Amino acid sequence: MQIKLIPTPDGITEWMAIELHGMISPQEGSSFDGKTLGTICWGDRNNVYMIIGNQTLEGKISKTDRPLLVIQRSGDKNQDCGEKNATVKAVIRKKIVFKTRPRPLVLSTAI
Amino acid sequence: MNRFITKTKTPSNKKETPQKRLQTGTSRNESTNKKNDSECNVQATPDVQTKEESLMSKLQFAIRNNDAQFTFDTLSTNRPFDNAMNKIMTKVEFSSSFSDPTSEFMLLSVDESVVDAFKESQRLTIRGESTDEAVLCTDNATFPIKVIESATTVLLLHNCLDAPDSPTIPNFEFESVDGKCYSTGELCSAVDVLNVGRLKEMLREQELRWDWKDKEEEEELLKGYRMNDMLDSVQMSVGELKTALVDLPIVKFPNGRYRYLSHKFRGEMLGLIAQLLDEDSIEDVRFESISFSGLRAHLPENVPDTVIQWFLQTRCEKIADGSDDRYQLPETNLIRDFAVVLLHEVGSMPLRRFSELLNKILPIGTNVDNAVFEGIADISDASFGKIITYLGPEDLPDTVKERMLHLFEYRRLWTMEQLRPYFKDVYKSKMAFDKYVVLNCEYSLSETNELLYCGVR
Repeated sequence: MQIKLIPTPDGITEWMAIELHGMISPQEGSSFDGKTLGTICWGDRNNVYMIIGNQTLEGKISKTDRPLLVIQRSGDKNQDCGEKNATVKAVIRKKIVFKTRPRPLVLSTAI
Repeated sequence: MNRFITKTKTPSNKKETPQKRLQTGTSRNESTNKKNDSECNVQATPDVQTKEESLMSKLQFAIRNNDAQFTFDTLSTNRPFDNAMNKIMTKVEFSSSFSDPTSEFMLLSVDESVVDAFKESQRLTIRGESTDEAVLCTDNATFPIKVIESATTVLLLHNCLDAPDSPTIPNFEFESVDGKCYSTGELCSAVDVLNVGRLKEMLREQELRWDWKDKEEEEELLKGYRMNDMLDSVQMSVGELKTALVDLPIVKFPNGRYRYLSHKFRGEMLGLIAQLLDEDSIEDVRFESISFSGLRAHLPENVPDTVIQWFLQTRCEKIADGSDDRYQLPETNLIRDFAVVLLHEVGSMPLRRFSELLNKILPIGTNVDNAVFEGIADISDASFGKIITYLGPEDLPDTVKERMLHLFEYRRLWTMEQLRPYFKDVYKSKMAFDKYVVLNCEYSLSETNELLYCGVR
């Protein structure tokens, strides 16, 4: 079997990844479509915080060790040779990695 | 306390206006002062907690309603945000098609050279049967793919986020999560060995036999494999496959199908060519000058034109005198081909008997130097004289380790130079083969301090 990787007509653009520890899943019977994931707050020295509900994730912007090709499955099949295609949508070179477990957001009452 | 905070959400907060919030802020300050005044007063604690709950709710409300000023003011005075927090905050939302299968992607970690190859319009193809570990091939190289098991969730954004310049007024930016990753793979280093085993197995199923005219005349056009058929099963790049095909007795027919020439076919054809070389009356089939038309005129119909062309192109050398159709046939090539045909059935035989047989078959006057058998057979001493053993790479085990074991079983000690010719079909780089031997083979030292390899680790 062969799966040919084809580029998008626009060429390879650059995307970004957000890496979270563990799984996120919507409530039963619903989906994430159109919903808010969280709010990213930018700190100094590439530190990034994301508030999801009452939890905070701490992370960093980092470069990937090697480029990551973003490949999308495609149902197209070349009738002559049974060859399948998959599209290389983008390449990822940067990601925000949230390595730590979520921590409760603690707010001081004194503003 | 944190658990307590997360539970509380007063309905009145949802309709709160900024003005009200300001008032609340004031009362919060008052409350804080009161708290300071009565630090030792246990009775005051529930009130403080209520204020905290209220603050959390207000923050959630502010975020929901894009009130950047309040969100910034609240967060920037709290840990861990208090450390040079940027006034731009980015709200990340899932796209409306996030749960659609088209938003699912595979991530493949590759070398920069692979990205460059792709940008240069080189073909990238994932190959392998369902039972294989997949490989990614560029035009000339093959990279095994290792699937990475991970407990992380990877979300994909079409834009590259970065810490924005901090403006004077807090503000929200909006970004969309456009996809998720369902699988992650990593490209390993390019393989330096040609996977010829499956290729040979496949092509030998439909090899061209000497008696093909009688048995398969009607299905002649259907036998054999096209390049794409081979690539479907063989995990090689197009360039590597072409290289592997050159080394094997494989002929490409005009219908685009490749076929393996059986040993019997080659033996019969070579026998006829040797007879033609012996005939003084045939002037256009001689060692020093041989032509397609000469061979075609004298070889039977079951030797297709394509096979004659293959013989001329792979076993002969073109004469550079301007004529298109004249070749010379080096004696060594004919001798080696005959040796393969004679020895592959019997495996080994006394050298004397072999030489007698060879002399009977070869054209009169052909000189045989035993060095010509390097890489296809080995001559060793036995109690009754010398014996020659067939070790043609074409018929040796196809994986490097198995082939090594086979050779070490045949003979205990080998130098690197002695081993190398038996791997010419699988290793295209001398350096790669030497590296394999150094890393994987056991060795001892000879009396002259020469490295002698004696086993595989």
